[in-house]
Amino acid sequence: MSHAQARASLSSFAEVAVVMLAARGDDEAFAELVRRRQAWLRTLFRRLCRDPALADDLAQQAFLTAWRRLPQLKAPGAFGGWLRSVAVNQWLQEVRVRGNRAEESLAPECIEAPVSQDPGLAIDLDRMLALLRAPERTCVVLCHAEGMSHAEIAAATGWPLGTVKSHVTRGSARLRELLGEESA
Amino acid sequence: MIDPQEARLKALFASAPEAAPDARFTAEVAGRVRTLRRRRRFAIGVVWVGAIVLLAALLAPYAPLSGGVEVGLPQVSVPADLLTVASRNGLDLVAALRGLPVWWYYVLGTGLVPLVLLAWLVVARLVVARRRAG
Repeated sequence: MSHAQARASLSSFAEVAVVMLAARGDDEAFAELVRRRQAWLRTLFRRLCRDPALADDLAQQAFLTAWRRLPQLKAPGAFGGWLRSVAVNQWLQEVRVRGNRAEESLAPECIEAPVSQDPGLAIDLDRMLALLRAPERTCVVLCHAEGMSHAEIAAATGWPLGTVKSHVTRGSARLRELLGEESA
Repeated sequence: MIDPQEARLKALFASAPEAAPDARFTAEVAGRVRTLRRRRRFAIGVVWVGAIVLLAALLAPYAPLSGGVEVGLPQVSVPADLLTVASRNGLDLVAALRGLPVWWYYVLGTGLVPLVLLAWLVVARLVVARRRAG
């Protein structure tokens, strides 16, 4: 089977099957997973870190970490959630390494305009997110964009549940306030 | 009951678009995966070959001459079992040991061997850990 044929047949496979192939060391299968998940993962990192170039770099690192740890994944059906926890760890590690520098990485006006049906809305949301502190932004994005519960966020980040709840509450309130100011 | 303000925020996030798919990104990740795989194979190969050679060196002075193959000095011989294992792994151990400089035989015949083996393992472990870190 040629390279192109293999790729075409992989694209029709269910994700569980592709994950199992990739876990056995099939690089084509892993590339297919990257193709399927890259838009979502890059978006998640862009919301978390505000810098498109850094976001793509972190997304690459997260995929490489996933490639290394994939043989340890026990439930191939849980690949999406597992990859998200890898990404969250990658982001928290970046925040720890960079410290305050991550906070001052980009001004809100530097946010790249995404491809959108409603570009104004998307840019507003990204700009407003950029004004939140990193822990609040992390919790708000994981809660509202990723639909994670407070307990899931606490488990993924290693932060106490109470801290997560307060970050989500404060971050959401600040975001609503900013969006209200913007629309007024 | 769902808080309407929270529902509004969720709807806002849901309506915001994802980053556009980028074929170059996929190609870059695939390239880095290939590089990592090559490095991993190389590191594993280095550790295996080094471990076999050093194990041979460690065992050689104690091996009975009748069961092994002499590679240089009379007291340095390689057990037959070890030769079989080495050849299964694609390594011509006798040729490798015969190709060593003369001073190596003095190193192999002294108590330095365990020290060299330990140093080798520590260095190999550090190299692999560093490569894994990135």
